[in-house]
Amino acid sequence: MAARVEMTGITKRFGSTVANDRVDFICKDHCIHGLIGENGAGKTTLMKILYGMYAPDEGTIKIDGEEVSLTSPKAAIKRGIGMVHQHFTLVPSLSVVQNIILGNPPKKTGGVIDMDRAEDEIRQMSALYNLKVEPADIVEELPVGICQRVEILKALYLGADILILDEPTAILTPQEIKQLFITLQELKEKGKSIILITHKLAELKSVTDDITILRNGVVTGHLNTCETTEEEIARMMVGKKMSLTVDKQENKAGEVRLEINCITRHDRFGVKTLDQVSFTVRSGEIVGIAGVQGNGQTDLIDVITGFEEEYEGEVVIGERRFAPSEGVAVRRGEGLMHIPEDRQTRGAALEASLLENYTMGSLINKEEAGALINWRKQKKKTEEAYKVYGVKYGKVEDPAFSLSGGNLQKTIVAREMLSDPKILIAAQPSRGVDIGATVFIHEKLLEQRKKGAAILLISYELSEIMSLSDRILVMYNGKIIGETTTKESTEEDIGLLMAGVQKEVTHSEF
Amino acid sequence: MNFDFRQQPIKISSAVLAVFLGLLIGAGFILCTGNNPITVYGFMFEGAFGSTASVASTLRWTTPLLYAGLAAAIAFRGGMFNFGIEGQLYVGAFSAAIAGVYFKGMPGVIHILLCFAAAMAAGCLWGVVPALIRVKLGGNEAIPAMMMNYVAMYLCDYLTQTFFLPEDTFGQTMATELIADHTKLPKIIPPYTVTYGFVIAVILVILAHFGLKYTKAGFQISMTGMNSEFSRYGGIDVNKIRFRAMLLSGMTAGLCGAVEVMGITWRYESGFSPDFGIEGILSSLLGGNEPFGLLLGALFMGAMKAGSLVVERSAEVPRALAEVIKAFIICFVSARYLSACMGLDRIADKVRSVICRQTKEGGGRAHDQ
Amino acid sequence: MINSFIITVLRLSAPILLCAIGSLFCDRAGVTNISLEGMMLISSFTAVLGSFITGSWLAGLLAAICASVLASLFFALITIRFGGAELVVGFTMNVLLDGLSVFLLRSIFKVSGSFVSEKIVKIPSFSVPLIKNIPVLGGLVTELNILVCAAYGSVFLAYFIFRKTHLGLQIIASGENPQAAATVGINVYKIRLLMLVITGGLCGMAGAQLSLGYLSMFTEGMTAGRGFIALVAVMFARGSAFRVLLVTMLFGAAEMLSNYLQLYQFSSYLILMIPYICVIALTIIQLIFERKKKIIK
Repeated sequence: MAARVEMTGITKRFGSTVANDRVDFICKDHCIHGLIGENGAGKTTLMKILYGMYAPDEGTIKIDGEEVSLTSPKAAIKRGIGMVHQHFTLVPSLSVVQNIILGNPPKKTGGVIDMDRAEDEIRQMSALYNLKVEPADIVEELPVGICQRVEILKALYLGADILILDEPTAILTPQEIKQLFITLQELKEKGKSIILITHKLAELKSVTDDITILRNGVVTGHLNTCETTEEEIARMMVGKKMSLTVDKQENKAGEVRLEINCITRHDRFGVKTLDQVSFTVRSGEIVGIAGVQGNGQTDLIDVITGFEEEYEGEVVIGERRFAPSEGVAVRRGEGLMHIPEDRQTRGAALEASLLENYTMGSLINKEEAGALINWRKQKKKTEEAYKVYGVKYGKVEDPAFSLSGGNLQKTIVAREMLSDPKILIAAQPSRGVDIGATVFIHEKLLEQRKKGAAILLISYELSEIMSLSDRILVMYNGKIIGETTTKESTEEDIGLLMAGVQKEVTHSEF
Repeated sequence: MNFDFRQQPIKISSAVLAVFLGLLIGAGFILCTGNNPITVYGFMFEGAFGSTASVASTLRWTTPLLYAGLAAAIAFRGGMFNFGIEGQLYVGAFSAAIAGVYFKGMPGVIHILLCFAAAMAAGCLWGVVPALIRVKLGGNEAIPAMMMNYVAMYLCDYLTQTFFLPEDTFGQTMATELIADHTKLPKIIPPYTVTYGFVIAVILVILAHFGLKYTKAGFQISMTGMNSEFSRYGGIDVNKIRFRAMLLSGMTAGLCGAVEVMGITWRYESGFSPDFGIEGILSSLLGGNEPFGLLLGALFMGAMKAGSLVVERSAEVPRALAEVIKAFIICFVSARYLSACMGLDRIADKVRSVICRQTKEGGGRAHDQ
Repeated sequence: MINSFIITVLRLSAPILLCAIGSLFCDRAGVTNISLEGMMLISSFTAVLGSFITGSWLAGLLAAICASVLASLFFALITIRFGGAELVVGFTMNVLLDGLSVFLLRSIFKVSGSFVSEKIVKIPSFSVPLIKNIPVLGGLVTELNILVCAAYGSVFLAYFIFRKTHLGLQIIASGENPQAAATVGINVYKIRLLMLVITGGLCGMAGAQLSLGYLSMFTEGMTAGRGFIALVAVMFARGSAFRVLLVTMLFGAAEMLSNYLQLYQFSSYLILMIPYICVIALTIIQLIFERKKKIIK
């Protein structure tokens, strides 16, 4: 079968990061091609280049044998390429029809839309591709699965022959996923080529014909789906980064400091974002939660730290059960510190000074009683903290946005750790931080562990989890689907769990 | 409609450019009236600073703007929009006037304090409804606050007309009786109309500065306005702080009305405020919502008012021109890219780096790594 | 009797309605424009000015529209091109245009307060013969002028544009999901600029209606908060042109009620408060209603 899409030697850099490194990618005709890799592997970047949203620094693209230059989504659309993004590009208050025809509606005189003709065309397409939608439905009332159908129809309406889907199953229920795959098969029968970006192995195996695996911007394998196994794919997907060995010694775990019991949370469509999550964290241990982003970790953090009040289940800190309404202040006052996932919105106030940002950390502190703030003392504390943590900055009066991402992260880590936390929730602690600083932060985490803090580490980098955690929990679809240790499992094993493949894990007898 | 407002610090280059452009446009209007802009601006400057009378006039007009501006600043810092300052100062003025007219048997200082307290309570109360709308119902507080302005003005007039009209009024001004003599705020430099209300205002501004900077409560207000999610993360009860900021703002606005009544008019008069509320908001915006910036902003606005009065007398240029110039200036101050587009940013950066080099050579401390 | 009520309500709501429809366009395109009050005010003045100088009400109307459109363009320039905060600029422009109208009044006509003159030509009104004597229906066709017709016509026009035309879809997309709009090739900036110009035109008509519609005079501050009431109408309407009409007419009725009650012994001040208290009450009711809906979900 002929190659419809041929990308050769694609390289794309963002600053000093190489997102795609001499990537070759071929998608054949009448084919569903899976593009798989971890977070940050470069999958979305590659496809955005194909859709004309980015220009490659090096490399060529050929569509149907002809070399093309895709300078914008409009150019890609002209070439028959359509993309359904991860975050929906629908207008909530408009109807299905209106959303589909938004770019190029059939018109009567005077700019009036020929709604009848549009509806007819939609109905025909809907029947042809077996994508059942009601043209008159309003998008914001539709469940996510149907919204996705609308997005697919939108791409098809603009004439897409090559359809790119970016993590389409991330927010679907199992039934909706089944339906989607039936749809994709039918589209394939009708002659479309489909590129499916995903991190979920099981799905890949069930619906794709070919697979390309990316790791750290480099292609690690081109495979034929029927000729390979999930283990082989996982191995190519989950690679070791630069060896960051931190000296992790054995540590005796003490009393239970944090207990999570049967936490369940529903989003506004009734879909479970957290499903009976239960675990404990003891003093002096690091419990790592592995998993791909979007499997409930963010909601879990919100529930534990007190940001989210609507949940069922129990959060027990120390001896005390905390009601959902007892929010951040109370929990922070009990010694629950938090390095947030999003340092720019939750971790810092960018326009405020570094000094003010650091001082926020001790606001709730019971020792710092009194109505006044002693800025001289705070300034000294801040400067000392930054010295210990190696933060590069000008003056503590500088605004927080003047720092680089990595340095800002260090200030947040410093702030949380130097308050002597009883429990530390560390979410993505080394995100956007260079290697040297990452090692430093990891060492600090181990230091806290030695001091007896109970640390819950949530990270989308498996290597980070593996090098720091005493116990590893894996989250998938809002559930803890596995618990293990680095002694019992390899990266590949955990990678499988992260991708939703449950295996019988034999515990070795100690 | 999006009513989110994130505070952006003001660059000095922007402010200077804005003032310059505003005055330029003003000059254009002056030319259209057949006058020489330089002479007119000369009159304006003289009217603001030229003599003791002028300075007194400037201070007289600055005083209410300091209170109203402080009210606006406190609300803005807490991330709230208090567009209801006008209404709050009206009820404050009315309450102070009534307290000043009755309760005659009290000793001087206590009576003055009573009037102040009445005004602050009234202003605070008038801020409750918009505050609740924001905090309890999650709605926008700006428009309801504005509506309450009109309600306040009509309410005060109604109460005056129905209950408090002195016997000998012949329907010229809707006003109450004069307040007791000892509640009238004394003048600083008689016979000019600047009262000790100005001194109190400056003290309040200084207190606000220290409060915002050095107290925990002030810190909480400040940070809530900057990033409410981060504040929540740090354990601040964002809703409580927002509510308090609004009430504090209302109290200050009430005080504005009180000082105007007790210092200048000596009674509640219908329509006594030439939009002090709005002018206060503008003063605060000019000053970057910082108390000391407000001092300069209010002074600037007050000076322009005083100057424009003289200009109106001497050159027949209506005082409304000052409003126009002020408004243009603030529009230009808000236009962040304006100075960049005009290349002034580069000049400002050069100047700054020169100054930095000078201070570094003076032996500044070096941070390692 | 009923007819005269209807006539008055239509007349009183017209300026608010015109502003509100303009604001509706801005709001749906994602522009927060709170300078309606000022734009209406400067157009009121310019209308009188134009009519006075040329003796033609049409010239006054056109002058009003020009003034308002110029103001909109200034707003667009400062916010879109130079990055000014929409709220700050909008708020300040109210002060600016108010001051400008007073300045021009006093320097051109050398009066303060109000300006009345026989030379000002007001917009002619007309009535449909025969029908005008029928109760209720007659009220709808008596003593109309082209601006009142335009006000009510604009409601239908807005409805039509949003429901049936490509432009309408582009406006809605620009407001609700500008990134999505951009990926389909819509120039969001151009749409927003267009909406601002349309708002300028409509506010110009509103101002002309205020000063030339049934009166023929200009008074300082004659808009009395109508621009803000228009904003509130749009906030309540949540995107629907007909809901804007409904809310506006409610305010017109409230205003008429307050005018009517003033003829009796009720204190005029309490009456004047009615429209504003209505706004606050409606805001609260609507918010409570929305909260209840969220909880049910």
